[in-house]
This record gives sequence, structure tokens and C-alpha cells, in this order.
Amino acid sequence: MRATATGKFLLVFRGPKRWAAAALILAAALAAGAATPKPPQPMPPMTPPALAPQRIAMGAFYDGAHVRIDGVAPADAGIVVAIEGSDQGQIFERKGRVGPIWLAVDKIHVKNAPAVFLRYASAPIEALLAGDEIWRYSLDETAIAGHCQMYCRCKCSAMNRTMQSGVNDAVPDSLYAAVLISDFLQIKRHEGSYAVHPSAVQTVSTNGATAYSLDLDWPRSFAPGNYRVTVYACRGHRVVAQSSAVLLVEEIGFPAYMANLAETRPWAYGVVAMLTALLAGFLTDLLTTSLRRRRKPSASGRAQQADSTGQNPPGPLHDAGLAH
Amino acid sequence: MRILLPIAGIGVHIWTVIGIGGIIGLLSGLLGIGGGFLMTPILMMVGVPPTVAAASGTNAIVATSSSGFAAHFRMRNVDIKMGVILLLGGLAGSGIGVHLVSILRKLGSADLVISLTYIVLLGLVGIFIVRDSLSKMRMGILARPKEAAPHRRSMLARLPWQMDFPHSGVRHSVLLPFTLCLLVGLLTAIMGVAGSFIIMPMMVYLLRMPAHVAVGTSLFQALFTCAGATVMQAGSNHIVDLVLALLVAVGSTVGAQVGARLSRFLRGEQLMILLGFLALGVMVKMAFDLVTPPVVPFEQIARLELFKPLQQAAAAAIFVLGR
Repeated sequence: MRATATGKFLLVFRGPKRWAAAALILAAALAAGAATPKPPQPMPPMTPPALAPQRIAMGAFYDGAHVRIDGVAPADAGIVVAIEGSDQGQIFERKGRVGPIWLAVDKIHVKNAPAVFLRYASAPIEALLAGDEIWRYSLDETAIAGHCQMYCRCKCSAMNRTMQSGVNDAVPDSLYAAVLISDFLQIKRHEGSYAVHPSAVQTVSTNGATAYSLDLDWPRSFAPGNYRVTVYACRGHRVVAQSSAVLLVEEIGFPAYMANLAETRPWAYGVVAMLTALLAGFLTDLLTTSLRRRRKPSASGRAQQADSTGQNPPGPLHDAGLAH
Repeated sequence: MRILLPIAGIGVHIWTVIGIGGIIGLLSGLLGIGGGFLMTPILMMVGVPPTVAAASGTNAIVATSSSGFAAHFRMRNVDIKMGVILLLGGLAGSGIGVHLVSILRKLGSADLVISLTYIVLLGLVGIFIVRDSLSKMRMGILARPKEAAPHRRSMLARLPWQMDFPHSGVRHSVLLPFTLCLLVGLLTAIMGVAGSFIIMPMMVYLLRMPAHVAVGTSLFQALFTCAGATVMQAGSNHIVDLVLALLVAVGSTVGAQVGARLSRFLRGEQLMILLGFLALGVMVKMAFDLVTPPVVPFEQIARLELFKPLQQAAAAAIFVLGR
């Protein structure tokens, strides 16, 4: 519509005037374009981080793993590496004080918060990035707290007494939510799932680029799943490039078979578990009984010999009737 | 050497878990308790998630109880007739208790009621056992139960369906052990543990059974209860770790054998005094936990799903035994 109107406007003029009008319109359009804010520049591409190994296999004798992450970033860049576990929703009981007693006062359902959130950097993250950049890329716990959602099933908490007991997935008020988030972050830090390691990433400037490397011991307590490894190149308190890769942690062999069986055929698994335990108990009993019987002839032989010589009267084992 | 637990998803030291099983098995064989009250917290200490620890512990108790039961059965320490009645009463009580728990939870005071009831009950039972056993030991009386007062004896004798329990050397109405165990089942469903602490003294002091027979019969009951609970936990919640259970079972079955043999070297009142001190120890620990601020106010949920399987186990067992 606008193009058609401009065309009709130009038809009013003839010869060189038409060209002058067209040039005027073009100049006005260019000036208008210059006045509007520029869209954000696309970040320069950065090669994805190299993970060694790319897949952690949790076999029967798994005891954690050593992981090396390295790659190349733009020149003079500080590096932040973030490792996030998938969010599957987590349920917690919150303890509170009722008189002198500490009791579970609420059940909290946490969503949109990663199960694991590890950050490694070449310097303290606050020194590498401005506050708004840290928030934008969710690189600290405040940002995680801002994005996560909490629902509670109130029982007797004094702070949200307006809610009725037995409520499912009620949204807590802002005061109570702040307490819950603080408690959630505290337990995550306590169990080692949320941690920050400044100065853990090594960087070397070479040929107009920054080579980085990170060595870490993968905790054996982390559950199987996909972990996203994201590398941020930071310069002038801004993120200038980023790239990511996925670290796969999965069970293999016998543990994988058992986990699969428990998930796909739970009742059969339950019966097998019960019968195996039953069998183990009876077999142990059988084993200890047969061992005792094997020892019996020699013991009774010694006893007879001792009786015949009048030495070594029968001991407490005989008294208790267990020597046979 | 570490081994990966497939359902718990963590690696643990094999010998640590076997050692834990050994200690629990020793107590089980010696005192006739299932050991569930110790199993879950100790496994949690080595990093096993609480729900998996509770469910796998139940599975391990199947192995421990069967080993201890076999040893006691051979020593003629199991009163099967009494055991079946106690089992039925306990299962019926558990079924009722599950509903009671859901009502308490709706009222919002379940945790307080459960914790305080448990502490008071354990304290009373522990003090009574220790006092009684100490006085018997001082007087030099062997583990022979005192005769009931004449008026109480005649009242109990008037109850219908009197039955002889020759193995225990007692005669009771079927209603007495059934009702007592129904009440115990009710309490254990509320508290979420097998309840041997209460069943054992009940058999010795109220049903007048010899202590050794009470131990064997208690193991018989624990075996069936935990077998049902294992299947239900695996089927409903998928949280039974067989590898963990078997590692614990390796230690606990051996421990149970040692415990059963050790129990023959101790007199009845000595066994009971051990049980009494254990009950008091657990009571003190629970009371301490209640008044001590937690390190972290959030914790993973351990107990919530334990009642439904118990209820299902009760229904299944009643159905099977009823046929």
C-alpha cells in the first residue's frame, strides 16, 4: 500500500524533478533507518567445546570420571563454563519450628530449576561480566532463583497461614517464596549440585585467539542424563561469543539392564527382588549349617578324646546344645 | 572397591554396605527386630536417596529375616500358629492405619502426632523392659514369665475361641493376639516402621511367650510383611535397588546367623535388656533430632509413599491367606 502511494506521488512530477523527488524520498528513508535502534549483532561463531570424554559410561564399578573441556575463544576473552543438568521437577519437605520442635511443615515442588548447576571461570564471574549480562545468561543463583517456580502444599507454616492445609500446587506469596528459594539454594549448595569455581579455567593467548581448558572430576553422585556444557567468551563485561555441547552420562551393562527392567516391568522386578532376597537368606542359612556340620565330626572327635582322657570338659557350646 | 547401584544411580563402597548389613543382621538375629529403623538412616549416610534406602532396606530385611527365621526354626524357636495370627492382625491393623494416616495428614498434624507418639511409646517400652529385666537379673530369676493376676487371668480365659499354643506353652483366645497385633499394626502404619520394638515386648509380657520363641516368631512376621512390601514398592514406585539390597543382605544374613547363635548364650532377660536399651537409644536420637535445628531446612521426601504399598500388601495377603 505504502509503495503504491509513493509511486502515485512520484507520478505528479515530470523529468528531472521526478528524479530529485525520488532521491529526496530515498534520503528520508535512509535517515529514518539510521534513527531506529540497530538489531543486536549476531555473535561471532565460536567452535563448540571439545569434551573428553563426550559420554560418561556408568558401568557396574563406576566411580565418577575425569572430564576435560577445551576449545578456542576470541582473543583476550575471559571464559565462563556452565554445566546444567536437566530440570525434571524436584520435591522437598521443608522443616520449620513449631514450638520447641522441628517438623516438616510444608511440601515444596520446585520447577524450572536445573538439577545441577556448576560454573567454572577463568576469573570471578562478577569481574568478567556486568550484572545484567549475568542475569541475561542465567549465570548465577540469583538468576536461577528468578526463573524457577515454586509450588507448595501448606501444612502449618506460620508464614503462609492464609492457605488451607491440603492445597495442591499453591503459589506461595512473595515473602514465603523468598524463604523457600533461599532454602532450596542452600540444600543445592550443601549437596554440591550448585557450585561456582572461579579461576578453574586455564587460558592461553595464541595467534589472536584464546585457548582455554578445564579439568574437572565428575561427581559420582550425579544422576544419569544429558548435561549441557556452555562456554561463554567474555570481554569488556559482555558476552562476545558462546557455544555449547552435550555431555551424556548413561548407565551401561548390568546397571542399565536392571534400571530398565525396574522401569519397564516393575512387578516382575519386584517379585524377582523378593525371591532373590528370600533365596539369599535361606542359602546363607544352608551354607552356615553345612559348615557347622562339617566341623562337627572333628569337634566331637576331639571331645570324645578329651572325655576319654578326662581333660577339657565340654564348653559353653555343648551347654547351649549347638555343638551338634 | 566401589559398585554402581542401578536404581539409586550412585556408587558405593562394597565393604561399607556389607558392613552396615552385618551390624543390622546381628541385631536382627539377636533380638528379633527387622532393623528397618536403623537401615534407612544409615544407608542415607552413605549417599543413598531416602526413598530408595527405605524400599531397598525392606528388600534386604526379607533376606535377613529369612536367614534368621530359618536358624530359629531349626532351633524350634518359631511358633507358626501364633505367627500367622499375629501376621493377620498386623496386616489388618496396617490397612486401618493407612486410612488413619491420610486423615491425620489432611488435618495437618500428622508429623507432630507420629513423632511424639513414637517417642513416648519407645520411651515407655524401653523403660519398662529395662526396669523389669534389671529386677529379674538382680533377683536371679531366669526368664520365666510372672503369672498374670488371677482376676485378669479369669477375664482373659472368658474370651471366646480359646486356643492352645503348645510351642509357646500358652493358651489364649485367638482374639487376644489378633487384637494386640491389630493395634500394633495400626501404630506401625502410622509410624512407618515394622514395629518389632513393640511386637517383641508384647509377645513376652502380654502373651507370656518365652523370649527365644518370641524372637523367632517376630522374624516370621517380619519376613512376610517385608516380602509383600518389597513387591508393592517395586511395582508402585520403582524404587527397590536389588543390588543395594543384596549387598546389605550379604552382610545381614551372616550377621543374623551370628546373632541367632549369640542369642543362645544370653538369657531371656539379657536379650530383653539389650532391646530395651536399643529402644531408649532410638528414642533419645529421635527426640534430639526433633529439637535440633536441621543443617538444611529442605530435605528429600522419604516416607510419603511407604503407606500405600503396605496397604496393598495387607489386602493381597488377606486375600491369599483367606483362600
